[in-house]
This record gives sequence, C-alpha cells and structure tokens, in this order.
Amino acid sequence: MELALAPADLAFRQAAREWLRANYPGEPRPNDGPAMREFDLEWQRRQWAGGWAGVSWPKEYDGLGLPVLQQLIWLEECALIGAPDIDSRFVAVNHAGPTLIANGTEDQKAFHLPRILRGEALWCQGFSEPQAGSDLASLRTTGVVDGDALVVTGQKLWTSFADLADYQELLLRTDPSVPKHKGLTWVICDMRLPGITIRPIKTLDGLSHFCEVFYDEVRIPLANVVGAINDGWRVAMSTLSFERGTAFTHGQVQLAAIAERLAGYLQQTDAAAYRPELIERLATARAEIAALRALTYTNAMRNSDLAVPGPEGSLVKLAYTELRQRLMRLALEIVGPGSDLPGITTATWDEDYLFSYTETIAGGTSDIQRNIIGERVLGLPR
Amino acid sequence: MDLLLSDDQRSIVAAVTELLDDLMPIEAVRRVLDGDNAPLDALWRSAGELGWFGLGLAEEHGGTGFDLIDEALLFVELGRRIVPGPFLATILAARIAALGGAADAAMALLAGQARAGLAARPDNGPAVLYDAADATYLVVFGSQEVELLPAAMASGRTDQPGLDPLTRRETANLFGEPIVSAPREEPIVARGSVLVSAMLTGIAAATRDLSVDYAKTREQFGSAIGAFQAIKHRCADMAVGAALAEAQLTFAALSVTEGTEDARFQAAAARVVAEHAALSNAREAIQIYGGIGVTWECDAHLYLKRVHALRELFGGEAAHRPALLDRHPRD
Repeated sequence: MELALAPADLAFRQAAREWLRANYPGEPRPNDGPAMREFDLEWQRRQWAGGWAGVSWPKEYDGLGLPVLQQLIWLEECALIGAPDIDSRFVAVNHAGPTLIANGTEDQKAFHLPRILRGEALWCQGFSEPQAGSDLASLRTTGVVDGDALVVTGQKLWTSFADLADYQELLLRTDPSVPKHKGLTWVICDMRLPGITIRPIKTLDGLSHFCEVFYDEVRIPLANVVGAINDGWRVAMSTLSFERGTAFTHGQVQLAAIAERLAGYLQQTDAAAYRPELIERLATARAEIAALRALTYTNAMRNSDLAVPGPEGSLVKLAYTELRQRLMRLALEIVGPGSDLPGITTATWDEDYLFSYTETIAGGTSDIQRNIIGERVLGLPR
Repeated sequence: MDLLLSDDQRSIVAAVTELLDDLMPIEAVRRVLDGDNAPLDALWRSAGELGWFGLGLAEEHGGTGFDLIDEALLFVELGRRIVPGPFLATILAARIAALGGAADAAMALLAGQARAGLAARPDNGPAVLYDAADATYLVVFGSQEVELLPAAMASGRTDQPGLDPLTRRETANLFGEPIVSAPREEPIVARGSVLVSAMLTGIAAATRDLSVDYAKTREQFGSAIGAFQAIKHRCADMAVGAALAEAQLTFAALSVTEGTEDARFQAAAARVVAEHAALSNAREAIQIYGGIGVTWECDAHLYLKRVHALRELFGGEAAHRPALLDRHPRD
C-alpha cells in the first residue's frame, strides 16, 4: 500500500493544474436560468477544445478513458481551483452519455455523444413521477406504439433543469400488463416536441432547478428507443456500471474548503470562547470529511477492476449528504444567518444550507440508501 | 497511490486471524476475564515467535521489517476480538528500546519474553498504568518526553479499575532513571495513536458484524428482525461508521509512514472517526440484542467497555482536536 502518487499521476496532476489555472471560468457562475446554461455549456466547450472533456468516457467515443485515480485527481483539481461542479451537465455527461455508449444504436451514438462532449446539448432525466419516487418502477407515464412513434402521455416530477435541457432520458410504461419492472422503455425525448409543458418548481432555497413536465400525446420516433421496447429497466440500471464512486468528489473538496475556512474564522472570533461545542463539532466534521475522502479513494480503487461496481457507493452517498447537511448547519451557526462573509460556492451561506436539504433526498433518499446498504452490503433480509 | 492490500498484507491478516481463531476465540477471552491467564500466555509466546512485536520495525533493528500499516492490520484484528494483554505498550516499548540502543530490553520484548505496560504521566500527580501487572518495563508518556522504565520503578501501585474488566488500570508514582529517554516526538505518539485507532476500528467492525448476524437470525413478528427498517437502518449506519474508520485508518497509517505534511491531521482524523464509530456501534449492538444485550453473557458489553478503556489513551479525542483545527497542508 502506498499513499504517494506515482510519477505518472503526479505529472498528470501537474498538467491538469496548469491547464485549469489558464482555462477555468473564474467569473461567478449564474445560479439559475439560461445564463447558467450558457455558462455551463461554455465550460464544457472549453474542456473539449482543450482536450479535457470526458475523463471517464472511453477513448473510442472521444473521451480520455482515464484510470479512476486520475479521474479523481481531475475532479479534485477542478474543485480546488473553483471550477464549476458538473451540476447541470451531470445527466448528459455522467448518465445519458454512458447509457448510450452501453446501449445506444450507432445512429444514436453518432448524433448525441459528440454533442454532449462538445458542450452543444444539455440533458435532463425524466424518471421520477408524483406516484413514483423511491419506488421508481411503479411509474405510470405511458408510451403507446402508434406507427413509427411512441405516443407519450403523463407527468414527470423533480426533473432538474428540464426548462434548460435539449434532451431527456425518459422512462415510460409501455406494457401495463406485466409486473412493474418489465414493462418499461427508455427513450430519448427532444424537449422541443409539441405536447410538452414544463413548469419550474420553486424550492425552499428560492431557486427553480426542479421542474414538472407534462406530456400530452407527445409523438417520439421509435428510432429514439434505447435498447428494446420493454427493456428500459435494464437500460436504466446499466448506467450504474459506469459509476465508479467519483460522483461526490467535487462536493467533498468543497466541504473540506468550507470546514477549513470555518476553522480559520472561528480562530479569529471569540465565538469559540463562549461556544466551545462549535470547536468540537467542527473538528469532528473535518475528521469525517477526511475519512470520506479516504473511503471514496478506497472504494474507487476496489471498484476499478470490477465489471459492475459493488453497492458500497451507497455508503459514500449516505455519509456525504448527511455530513454536508450537518456541516452547513454548523456553518450557519458559526457565520450567522445573512452573513456577509463570502462563501466557497457562488451561493450565500443561507442558500448552501437550505440546498443541503435537497441532497439527502435527490438520487435516492438517505433512507433508501440505508435499505441498499442493509440488504446488499450487509445481506439483511428484505 | 495503492490502497489495496498487497499479497504480503493478505498473508499477515490470514496468519493473524488463524492464530487468534486458535488461541484467543471469545471463549478464551472469557477465560482470561475469569482470571485464567493461560490463553494469554500461550498467545504471547506465539506472538513473540512470529515477530508481532517487531512487525513494523526495520530488520537492522531486530524487527520483521514491515510498516505501520501492517501493524495497524494486526491491531484491527486484536480489536475485533477484544484480545486482552499489553500488545500496544509492548510493540511501542520494543521500538523505543531498539531505536534507543537498549539492546537487552529490545531483545526480550521482541521475543515475547518480557512485556511492557503503558503509563500516562501527567505533570502533576500520579501516573496511570495500563496492563502493567505482568510487565517488566513501562513505556511512559509524559507531557514532554517518552521513556522506557523498569516496571520496578513504580511505587505505591493502587488498583483504579476503569469500566473494562480486561484492562488492568492502576495509579503509581514513577521514579528512577529511565533506560531510554527521548523527547516526545510525533512519530512514536502518532504510531501509538494510529494503533489505538486500529483497535477501535476493529471494534467498530466487530460490533457491526455481531449486530448484523443477530439481526439475521433473531425472529420476532414472524420474521428476522433485520428485515425491519428500524433495525436495518441502524445496521446501515454502523456500516458507514466502520467503513469511514477503516478507510481513514489506512490513510493515517500510510501518512505517518510516508511522513506526509498532513500526517498529524490524518492521524487525528482517524482517531476521532474510529472512536465515534466504535462507541456508537458498541452501543447499537447492545440495543439491537435487546434484553440479551444487557446481560453479562452477551459479548456486546465487553466491546463497549474496551472502547472506554481505549478512549483514554494518548489524551483521547480532546488531545487530537487541535490538529483538526489547523490549516490543512496541501501539496
């Protein structure tokens, strides 16, 4: 075992650092709307032009095909210098792209993959519905084959950036007569098709990143089906095999930076003198942040040789999101509400705190993560 | 960077596991608890023959030539089985003696022919001795220095039992000239603290496993209680705590060995995370066992009590906090 980076990895880090220093977008990122879309796509375009796009994508699809350690190094360097997190680009780069690589037709791949890597298209994810949250496979939005099209009717919910996206990975019920996982289909939906209505949802932080999307007899060409009709659950799950446990790296670096900044701030004020428990909580949080990084690296390396990574990613997801919420609450107690102390992200401390309530729910709630850990990591009965 | 166990390390863990299965299963731990020291004496002889007490010491100093991470792997297994006996003090004492030129003491300690107890000496008041009953030497941690002292130099020894019936705790006054005296340098304290973290990590894992095994077999309301989310989710949280402790232990041990700029920070983080996970998981184990959990016959309380004994060592969490509030050096 060794902690030090090998010369090749050190050289990689140095190259990443130098390129980022010269190219990262240092100006504040708009946190909503078309301006944010343009900012994020411009950053993706710059990475493509500089030869840094698609660190996890295979080389045959113009990605860099980096080993997982170098992916982690890249993500950490991006976060350390203050480049934007993947955020609105997440579905396209880390979800839809890999799904198409694994399951798409040659035409689908040829059309969409370059647009994703080159920063020409944003994607959103149409999975959750009002009656299908944690129990995703109970979704009801239907697709009926009619000639050369699927006719889609129903509603999706919690679709991040639906109002800014060009395409959507849409999961539909195409056969209501079979048990629920079996009658689903994964299809590429063009968000400009007639019959689609998008309503942004204002969340508790005052922003509107989530949307609800209504489909009224929307005709999607059958050529947009990825995999086969009624094979959508397998297609959706296949994406997981691309996830090597790097998803929260950027956020973890942010947490470390926030905690370090809070430590410096505490030392400058007298808050620690009359509230010594703040010191204890902050020290504990920094220990946990360090351990989370260690666990991320350990999991990523154990997973790198597996065809499908183990369920241990749920340990990181659960630990990270819960820790983020605790740290942001602590931050708010230390800096005070409405603080004029500049934060680490472009959001205010209040907004970062409020947003942390989203993270223990999105992408599988903490409670669902505990079920996965209990059943798939520990082998407890269902 | 390489965070996967090497073949050598797999062999070490396998050999340790095999020997402990043989000589110190929980039934043997309970024999020691009842006052029969034979299992511990037998284990001690084998440990000496196998070179455990010089595992992380260079061969030129009489050791086995592995690293702190390998010692940590050993101590995780010792923690996992709440093995009694002064393994920690003896491995540290052997190192201090060997590096400090006390050849006779080093040879006896490395071979398992002598044991060392741990002593924490405050600036004022008597020292606290841990597992020093059969010790020939004491490794003494003062506020400024680390010393190796003949155990005979402790006077006025008085039993001061803590919670753990398997950790002998005494107070005593220490006098006389040390065999080896060194400034209280980071490496030896950091090594000791990493090994405490390793034992706590082993306890966090063991109590997770105890709970999960019980939750799979104990039935109520017609099903294994592990099917209930109230139990399942506790087990999941225990798994998170144990996984964080294990991962950070590796980072801490490697940082100290490689002398990284943030080694103090990493070691402190390992200590805090392991202490929290061990205490919390031991508590949860008792809770999940229900009524059985509070009986003497259930092993869960032995883990809880060992956590409380280990928490005292090297100043506990409070002593590690300052390192966690410093600027984090970054390369």
